[in-house]
Amino acid sequence: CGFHLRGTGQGGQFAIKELDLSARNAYGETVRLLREQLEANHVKIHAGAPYELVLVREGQRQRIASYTTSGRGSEYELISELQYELHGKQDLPLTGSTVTARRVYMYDQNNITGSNQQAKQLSDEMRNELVQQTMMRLQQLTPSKLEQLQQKAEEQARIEEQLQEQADRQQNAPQQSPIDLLRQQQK
Amino acid sequence: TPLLAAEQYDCAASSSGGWACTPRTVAKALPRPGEVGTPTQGPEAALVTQTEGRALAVRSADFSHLDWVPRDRLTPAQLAETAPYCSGAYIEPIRPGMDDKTPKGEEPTHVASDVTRYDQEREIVTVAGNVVVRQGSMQVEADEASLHQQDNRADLKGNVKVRDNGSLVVGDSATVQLDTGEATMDNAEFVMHRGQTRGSALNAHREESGIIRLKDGTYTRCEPNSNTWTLVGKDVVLNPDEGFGTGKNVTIRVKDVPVFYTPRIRFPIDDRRQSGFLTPTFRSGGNSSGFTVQAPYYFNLAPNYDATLYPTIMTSRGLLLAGEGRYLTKSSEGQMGAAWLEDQNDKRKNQTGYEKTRWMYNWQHIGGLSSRLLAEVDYTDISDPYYFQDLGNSMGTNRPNYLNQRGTLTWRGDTFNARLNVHALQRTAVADITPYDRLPQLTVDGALPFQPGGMQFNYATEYVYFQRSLKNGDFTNRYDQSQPWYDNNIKGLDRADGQRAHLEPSASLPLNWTWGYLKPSLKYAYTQYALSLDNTGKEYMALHNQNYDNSPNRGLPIASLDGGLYFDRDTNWFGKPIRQTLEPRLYYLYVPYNNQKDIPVFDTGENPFSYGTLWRDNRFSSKDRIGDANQMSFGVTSRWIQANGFERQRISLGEIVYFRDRKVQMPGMDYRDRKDAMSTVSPIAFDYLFRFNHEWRLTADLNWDPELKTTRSGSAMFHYQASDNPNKILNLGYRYRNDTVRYDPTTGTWQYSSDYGNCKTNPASCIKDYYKVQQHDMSIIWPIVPQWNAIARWQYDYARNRTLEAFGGFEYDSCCWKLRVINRYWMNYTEYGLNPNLNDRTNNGVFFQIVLKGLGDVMGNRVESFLQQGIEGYTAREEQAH
Repeated sequence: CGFHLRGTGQGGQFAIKELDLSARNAYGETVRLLREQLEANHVKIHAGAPYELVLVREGQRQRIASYTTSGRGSEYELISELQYELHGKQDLPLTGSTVTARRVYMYDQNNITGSNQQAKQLSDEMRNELVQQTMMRLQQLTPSKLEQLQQKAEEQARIEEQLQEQADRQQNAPQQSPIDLLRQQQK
Repeated sequence: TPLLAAEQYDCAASSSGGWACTPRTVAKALPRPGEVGTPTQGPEAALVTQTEGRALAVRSADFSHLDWVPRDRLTPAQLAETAPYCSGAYIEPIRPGMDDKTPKGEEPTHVASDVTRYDQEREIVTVAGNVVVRQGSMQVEADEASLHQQDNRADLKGNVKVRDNGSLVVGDSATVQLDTGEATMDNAEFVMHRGQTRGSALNAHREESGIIRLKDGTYTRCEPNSNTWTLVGKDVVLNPDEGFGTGKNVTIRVKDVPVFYTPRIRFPIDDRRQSGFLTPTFRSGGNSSGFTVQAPYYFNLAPNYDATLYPTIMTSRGLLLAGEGRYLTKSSEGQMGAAWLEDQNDKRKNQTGYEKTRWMYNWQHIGGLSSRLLAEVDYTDISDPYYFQDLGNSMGTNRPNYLNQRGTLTWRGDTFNARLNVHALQRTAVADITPYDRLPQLTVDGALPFQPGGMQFNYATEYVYFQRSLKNGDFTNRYDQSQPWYDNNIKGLDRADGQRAHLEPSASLPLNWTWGYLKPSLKYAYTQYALSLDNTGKEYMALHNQNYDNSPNRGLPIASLDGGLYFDRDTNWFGKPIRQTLEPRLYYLYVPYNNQKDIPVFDTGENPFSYGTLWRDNRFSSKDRIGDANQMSFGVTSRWIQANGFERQRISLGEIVYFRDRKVQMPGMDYRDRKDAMSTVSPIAFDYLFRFNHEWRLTADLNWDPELKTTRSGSAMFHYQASDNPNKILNLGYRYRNDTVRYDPTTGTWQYSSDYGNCKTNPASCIKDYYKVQQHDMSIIWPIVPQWNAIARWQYDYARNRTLEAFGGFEYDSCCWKLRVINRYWMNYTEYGLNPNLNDRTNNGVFFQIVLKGLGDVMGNRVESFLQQGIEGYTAREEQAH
């Protein structure tokens, strides 16, 4: 039905061969896992790489998914988010997105420590999922796609620069007939 | 009479070399388009005090004199900045020198006009016709002007416009000091472009510093032709540098009718965060606090830290002083808060734990994000267990179930993480048993730096001291009755405190290919306990012929083999190329049986079954129980991935085949009483995700037991949030769960039943299906007619056939104000005794919120918090609101 083992047909391999990686939580689990995964896919992680993956923000929140009949939380939904950006030459942002993972855990009022352990276990699994989803996004990037994105970003930067220049020109337009009223300054 | 254009002058070269001009005899103002008049305002209104709060249409009917640009002529970028219901925006035109930062008086003054005349004797330059005078960032326009060279003063007449960066003042006449920027204007209207606000005054004075003082001034965020609300004050001061305004003896007028008076007010005039009072909130009913007024005050201390004070007056309790501060640096972030109340309400005075002085403080902190040593603090303490029930800042739905008192230090090494954690838990209810504290917990996890032949060696080590002080005897409930604490129901070994040391070395050989992976792995888990048990526990154990061992230990090998394949195919999805994957996975797990009956449970529970369970090596949540296993998990996941890597759809399906019964159970439970512990196959786990785009998604899961032909748990959730219209949110959800293993505090036993209490032995005090989850949750925000949105939520519990929460109402939104009216019915947790049957009360209340945009930010905490909790996507909606 058209399926083939990954790597034997088209695609599937990592097109990016080198990458710089940074994160706000510089020694956190997420960035460590991501580095491990990238290296396992033969991506060289070093500061001199032309593209940089920046983990801008990681966060977890929770909301009550269902209630006990007296209005206390019975199941909680954990929502983990990871926002990343890929920066190119001149540190221009090329692409970026937020990946999300969700899980629900049972909350037992009378075994709080046990419920917390369950939430912790799920958090670890969700972190793996976030890393996996980020990898899926990165996997789709080919050098030519990156080059396109770089050109687009440079084009965008140029347009913005031009608009700024235009505004500056308008502001600094030569002004007619300066009558210097401030005689103090003439001295 | 204002002079309008050059053709109204007769000019000729004068003897002095300049132009000599004399006005033509009857210089009548030419009629301009604006003077036809508008339907909202008679053409006779020529003074700003006669317009009832609207802008002067006599100056220009389309209000272009205030830089007003109608919506259809805004550029896309300007449109994006404009609130959705505004018919236009004040757009500051780009002009020469507008960003000039040079102090006034140090730049030459530029004058342009159609005609100029110089009176040498008096050193007065008279200019007329399109007069433009520029001095630094200030620009003055008028029909005619006399420039007094000696004192650098300009007297202007006719259509005077004084501009500085971000502000415009329009008037009939003005005097401007050119070297300082000081100006006085008559019959003035002004616009602050950044805050999209306007106002007027018969007399406006602009100080050297740029501060604008208005005598009998008005101020509003409403559009030029609207007078929905206006702030009117004797002395209104606008400070564009600081971004705030103040007023004395201020009335708020709605349609020119005074509705509210305040002696002083401070309000922001642009989108900068400002110190000042936030919109107060009012509430009546709901709980025993009486009528409540909260007037928050915000301190904008620096871009990266701020504070808010929440003084709250409750008629039946007194004055609650509360405050919080937040901070954010490159490598740390956090917040702290505190509250204090001398409570006048003594309804709880006989209840155990009652305090007259009620307080709360908290500190949440993460520090060292950019360094190897990470420090975390999460600490909250309260005066009494009823604090959040009585004073919680919302309506029960997000009252915390417990409070963390935790401090953690983590060293993040290259090959290992070491962590020192102290973690106590504080209860927020009487009707729970006392939880264990971890004082302290030490963990070191890592990997050996060498990998001979691809072998990986990992280790996990942990030392924890679990402690708790069980309560003895009785407590007094709301009805002055004594009741034994739930802690009295804890029996035998469950009463133990203890130290636990855990060592878990492991070896694995991960083999990875682009097309799949195989990972054999072998662990050895060794756990040593040192227990201490009180006499009550020891006596119980002796009486029931249980053997108490104060230093049990357990050693278990855990062997597993994990393997998977990746298949891809390129296909089409609604005409677009998409990659579909097929990822079959196998997981074999072997753990021998070890009788763990002499080990108490400190931090362990049994996880409910889900697709994730298939790939875990322990069915329990922590180390006090390691489940025996001889099982094979089969699973397959298929993903549809778009060209940009976005996962459109994911289906997972799997099942475990058991080769033996699961004999290890929570304390007191026997696997022979549980059919699901003896089945040869697990429930079939199904997990589904579909995202049409970033706007809507459908998630579902189902765990169906083929042997017992029952559904163990399942859920379906649909979420829609339009990206181009923040007013469209729809959530539809259903959750079912009937497979919980939990601790029953009334019997002191672990239960697999969903009832509260024991319905077989004690049917009088049991509650059937108390822990069964069978609920739907629907919520919606939707536009009904332009500017009107409906808001509703209905959460219903089918297990006990009752509504848990229902609210419905509407929201009106316009360019300059907003109104919300919501009627809410909800189940509230208010503790009276241990039996949860007594502790739920239904409440009903109407919540009312009016926001005058431009006068402080949207507040009304109490309305917002139940909307935030109740409607998924509400927070995201408010973040993009104008």
